[in-house]
Amino acid sequence: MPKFKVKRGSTWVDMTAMCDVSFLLLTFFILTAKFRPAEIVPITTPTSRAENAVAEDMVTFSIDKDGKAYMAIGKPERKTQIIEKLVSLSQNKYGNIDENTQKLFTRLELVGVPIQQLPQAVKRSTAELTEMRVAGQLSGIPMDSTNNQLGDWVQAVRYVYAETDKLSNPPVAIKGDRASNIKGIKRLIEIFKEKDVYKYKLVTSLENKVEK
Amino acid sequence: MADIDTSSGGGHGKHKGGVRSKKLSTRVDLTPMVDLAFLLISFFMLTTQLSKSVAMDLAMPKKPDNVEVKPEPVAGSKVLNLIADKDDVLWYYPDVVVGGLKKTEYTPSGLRQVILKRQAEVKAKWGLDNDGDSKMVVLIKLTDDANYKNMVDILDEMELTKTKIYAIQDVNDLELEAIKNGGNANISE
Repeated sequence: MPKFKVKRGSTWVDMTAMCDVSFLLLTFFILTAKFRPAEIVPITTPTSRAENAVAEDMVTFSIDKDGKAYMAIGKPERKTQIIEKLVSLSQNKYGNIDENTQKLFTRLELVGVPIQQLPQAVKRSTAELTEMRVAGQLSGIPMDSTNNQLGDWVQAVRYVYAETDKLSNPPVAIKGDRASNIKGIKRLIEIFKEKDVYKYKLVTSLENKVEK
Repeated sequence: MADIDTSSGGGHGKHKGGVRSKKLSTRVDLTPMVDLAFLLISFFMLTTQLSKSVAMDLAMPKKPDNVEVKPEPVAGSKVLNLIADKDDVLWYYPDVVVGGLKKTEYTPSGLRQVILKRQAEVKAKWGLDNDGDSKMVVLIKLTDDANYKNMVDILDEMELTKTKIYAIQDVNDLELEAIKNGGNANISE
């Protein structure tokens, strides 16, 4: 019998291709990853099992853990429409909001001051506003019944979406801190009700299954 | 002895020969690099998933235009009351008569069991609706000391237990009294 010599194959695997693929994927994920931008007011939302993603074109009303209210408008075009609507609805009730302020308003990430202070607030950068928040100078939007500015904002938002998109329910969301007292949230819901907004979303983060 | 032999063949001695330096391979082992790359990929995939915020829908009843219209009465045997109190305490009692409030917690073994138990009771008496869901009515009441997390937790539990009929209401005085007394309403006083 002839003896066959089985050639031993090398165990060496060429990793170059795999390395290429993995770095390609890595680059892709790094580029597409959208880190949460630094927020002016940090809000830790409660967790839930809800699965609906938050749309971009949405107006978010936040309540921080001290019960102060803030408003963030998702799309820059909406900001222009909403501030114009607010000015035309409030009729100089909150002092003169000139055109320059209205223009700069599109840059404002978060409304966190009474409307009277808007002309100064729009000139500040996000970093400056964050500093103000740390120093406790950001008072939030007043929402008590005697000075219900938040109600005026809600009304402006509702009118804008009703007129441009014919939406009877504007896409609004409530974003509350998990530790915030329910009174602020209740008041916000009450204001929504007063202004005929009955449907809204509650912003939460994904439930961490290990936690429970 | 000192020269470096780069050629592969042609040894020069008959038996001893020079020290042949091994030809160095240009191949680099990429395995650790691939490991690292995949580690980073998994990190980025996970972090992008986690930072996403999700939303839960909430609809409140419309303010009736006509104040005369009275809401339809609900049978007490369908009702479960949940009262969120301070420090993550949750009180509950069935039916519409305030009394015998019991404490529970926001956990699968606490609140969820309370809901499921009441659902079973309601099912025994009233059956299920056309979609096969419970006819139970949950009244969610939040005291002023409750926090937002409590509210979301309860609403989440409604979703999970497929409770379709629920309403957020104000806490009434009788219930506040009962909570003060540790769960027992003394109606006689």
